[in-house]
Amino acid sequence: MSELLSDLDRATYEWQLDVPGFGEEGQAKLRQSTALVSRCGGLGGPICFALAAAGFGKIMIAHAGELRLDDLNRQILMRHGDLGQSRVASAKATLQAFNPNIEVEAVPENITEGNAADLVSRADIVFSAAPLFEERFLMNRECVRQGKPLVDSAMYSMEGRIVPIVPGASACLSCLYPEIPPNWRRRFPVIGAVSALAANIGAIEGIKILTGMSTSQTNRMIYFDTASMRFQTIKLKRNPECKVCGSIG
Amino acid sequence: MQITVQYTGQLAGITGKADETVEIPEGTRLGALVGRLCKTHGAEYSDLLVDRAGDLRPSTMVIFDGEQILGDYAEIEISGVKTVMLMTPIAGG
Repeated sequence: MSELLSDLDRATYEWQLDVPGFGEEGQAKLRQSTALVSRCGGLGGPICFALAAAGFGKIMIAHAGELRLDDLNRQILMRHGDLGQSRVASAKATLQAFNPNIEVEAVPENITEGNAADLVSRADIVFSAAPLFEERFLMNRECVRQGKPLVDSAMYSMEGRIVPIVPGASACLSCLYPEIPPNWRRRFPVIGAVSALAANIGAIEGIKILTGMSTSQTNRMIYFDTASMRFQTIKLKRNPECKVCGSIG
Repeated sequence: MQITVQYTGQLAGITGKADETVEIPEGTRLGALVGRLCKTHGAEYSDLLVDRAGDLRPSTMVIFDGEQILGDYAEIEISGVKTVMLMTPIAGG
């Protein structure tokens, strides 16, 4: 029996302790881990929910701004009564009501050049769910620099893409996209269930990376299209000329 | 040879399809295939995939039979390939 788990932990997570390769050791690793989630919208919100349910010790959520009505088709941590209030405060309240035995830190800022290094340094793993490539690239750069695993999840319309990144061992986000795409638009078509699917796959990959419970899909992109229900993994390659990770590992 | 071109993200939205079958000569260069597709599908499609010089944008991912391809896109030969997947970046959340 692990001394790292309390009786409350064992009672709360009893059903997942039975998952092969996870057990008390896996639970203890999550209990000791801090996750940084960039944004808590349609994608980041369900990631946070999955991490809270799994029993991460601490979740840091970075997201600026106030809740709008048109967020509510996908941002499942929010509540209608919180319209006009801080998104991250609403998310924290939902998570703490769901699992009061974890710590949730609400950071009412998006990831910027000014906070990226500090926030990443306080995390064991980072989940990227921002709608802007500027933020995603900042997290990717900092994770590579600090040797922290990153799970980059993205969606568009009926499609999702999840890229687990272990710096030095797998392609990083800048290997895939060497520049900020000139045609990406901040507003994108989205059904909340598609975001949540991508989020939960990303959360699973993060749990696998941290616990080593089974082979994570590093150097793979997990791609799905829910219009056709086509799921596939795509083999990725590190770019030796990558400006972010080309000189490491 | 016949290949399947798979569309993802914005490209699927513009073309209105997830894939299409294209007949090309064995050894066709990727640049030639992309040029042909751009003519077929119009300006919005082209603008996503290629720059003003007609070169594939660096952030376009090309996947042959489930494996990412790196290199000089324009010169890469399509030989023995069944599926070419074109992927433009997405960051929706």
